[in-house]
Amino acid sequence: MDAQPVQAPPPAPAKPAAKLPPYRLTCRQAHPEDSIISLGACAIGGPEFIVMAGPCSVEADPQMLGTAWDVKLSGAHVIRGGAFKPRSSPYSFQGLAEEGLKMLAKARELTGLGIVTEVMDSTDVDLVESYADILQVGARNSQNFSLLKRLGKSRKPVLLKRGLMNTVEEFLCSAEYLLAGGNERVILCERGIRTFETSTRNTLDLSSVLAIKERSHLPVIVDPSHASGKASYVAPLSRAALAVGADGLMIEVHCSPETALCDGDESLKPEQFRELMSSLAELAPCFGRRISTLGQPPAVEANAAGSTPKYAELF
Amino acid sequence: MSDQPDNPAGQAAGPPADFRALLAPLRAEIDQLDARLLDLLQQRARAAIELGRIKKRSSLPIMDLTREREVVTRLAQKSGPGEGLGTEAVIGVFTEIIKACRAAQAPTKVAFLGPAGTFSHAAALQQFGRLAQLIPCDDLAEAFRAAEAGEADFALAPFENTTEGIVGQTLDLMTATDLRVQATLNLPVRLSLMSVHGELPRIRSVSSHPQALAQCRNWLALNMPGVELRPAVSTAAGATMALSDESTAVIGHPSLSSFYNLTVMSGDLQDFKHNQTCFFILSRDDGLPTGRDRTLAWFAAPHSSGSLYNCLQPLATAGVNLTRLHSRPNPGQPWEYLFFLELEGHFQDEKVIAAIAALKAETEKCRVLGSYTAPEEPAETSAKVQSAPLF
Repeated sequence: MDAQPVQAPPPAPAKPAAKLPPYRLTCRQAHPEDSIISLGACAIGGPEFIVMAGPCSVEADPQMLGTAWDVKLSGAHVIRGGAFKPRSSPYSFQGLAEEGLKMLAKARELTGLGIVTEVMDSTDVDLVESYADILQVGARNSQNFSLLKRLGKSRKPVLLKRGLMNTVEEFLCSAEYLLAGGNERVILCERGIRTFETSTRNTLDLSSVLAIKERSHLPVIVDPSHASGKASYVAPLSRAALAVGADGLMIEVHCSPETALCDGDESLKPEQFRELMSSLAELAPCFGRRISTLGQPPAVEANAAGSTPKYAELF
Repeated sequence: MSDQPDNPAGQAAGPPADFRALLAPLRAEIDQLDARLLDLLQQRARAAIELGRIKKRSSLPIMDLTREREVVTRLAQKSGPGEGLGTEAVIGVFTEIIKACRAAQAPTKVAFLGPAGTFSHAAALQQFGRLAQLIPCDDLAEAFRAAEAGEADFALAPFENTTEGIVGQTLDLMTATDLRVQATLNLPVRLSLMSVHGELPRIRSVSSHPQALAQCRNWLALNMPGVELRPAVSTAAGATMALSDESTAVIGHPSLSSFYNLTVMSGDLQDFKHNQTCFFILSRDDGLPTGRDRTLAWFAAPHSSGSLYNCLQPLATAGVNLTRLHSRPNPGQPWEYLFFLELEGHFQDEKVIAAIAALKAETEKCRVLGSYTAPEEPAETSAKVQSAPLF
């Protein structure tokens, strides 16, 4: 199990008589400390504020690799990109499937960062698992219980998005399917819910972060891009998510949003993303967080230092 | 088969006493066939030497890897099941014949990262055979220099390992050389346990390069629990330790056994069975187009948003498929990066010419490093091997 205890102060012990909620393993009583999930060089749920960034959908090499490189230099921890796209309309761009997964693999090779990508159907899990580092369950699949059962058996971490009509309790019950199946590496993601409000695409329910943190030990991240549907709202909502206590963000970044095949309106340009990252890094210490990937020459550590003597001797 | 029967008593009890009479005609036939084979081989070598002369006059490279592979594959396909020699045997025999004939055309000189018995040495032997003159070098830069100066015809450089990733030093050297990548070679990393006497119970310690020891961790824990591990500067240095101490065994490439006169006790110890190292074969000549080519190039991109995208977009517009992309920090320019890309197609193909021209319009620093035949295995497997879990 990768979840480890960190912060000492557990909330007051639950009264012995208190009835456990239906999400037995997900609830805080089952694990009073915050769960920390290791993501290679960093970990989510601890002091590091994790940012996952990249294009909504993988479209072509230049767009994917160019964006991945830019977000890496800006300090992102994980690259996102969809190869399978669940679209409301069957006539919209549906994603590149395995072709897109291969592009993600190239982006991973280039940047050395992990990739998170959506899996839409239990029949695709084996394929996506062989490429991705984190498996994402989209909002529309949040209550696809056969998919959740299959992912409970997976050895990769799962990023579970909140269904657009799901209450926090239903959301946590979905997570329970993963934990009950044996996969304890679950990251929750608030991405907006459907309300009567039409000025934004969805209504970002930031208070759900607090509600989830109170009820569960799992890390929570926020996706302001899909929630608002507007690039100009993304940065302020991101800072709000940091302030409210989320463990990270998932943000859409696209090299040329004008030509994006999917969700171009809500994508940040790489330079906007860089500005957002530096403002988050500045704010993070105010909320007991840090973003340590920013401001370091990213590629240098791994490549330059170790390899020379090691290879000279081995080969 | 021994000429003298081991057991004289068997003569009386076993088959008729004159079984030697049965062997004699078969031996005579084999001798005759050998004589004819030798004649044919000499004939083949003469043809190859003539071919070499023509190649030299038209300044074509002596080694044509694609043609060599075609010859062997065609012959291997001819030898169906049920024949005396299986496919593997036919491939082995003809690979050696080709290497011998190539050496007859011109003794090939190959610079590699020494000493003898290293993985680079094994790769050089696999590609050029024992008849080539193999020049061990102290470091990679020395191997590059030998080939640049004409002291060697080829330099061999490790490029990527499926477990350890890219060899940065090779890429760094590539940016500062006129040598061209002419071919690539995949060598499975196979590790064997060897000692002077070959008796496992007498082994008290195992010495090798720490990487080689690490790659066999599970095997060692399972088969030799509690054995002392002694790190050495190279697998070859480990072999020297095994030579001087009988209770020490070495882990390394099986070819170490022949160079240091060791006995192999166990093979394929590596925990990751798919572990492979890809080598570049560099020379001063270019490889010829085969229709299944890859082209390697590098370019510099400034540390600014969208710079990589701007460099890659023209390639996509030209319709060229990108098969690899690696980054290296530019040692001379802080915050600048060098990118190594591999494209589908030969650098003489019109599409690739257009793509490189478009790339050169985006960046001042851009250079083609050569074209070579695409590796044989399907792209899917290599992509999946690269996706070994990050976390």
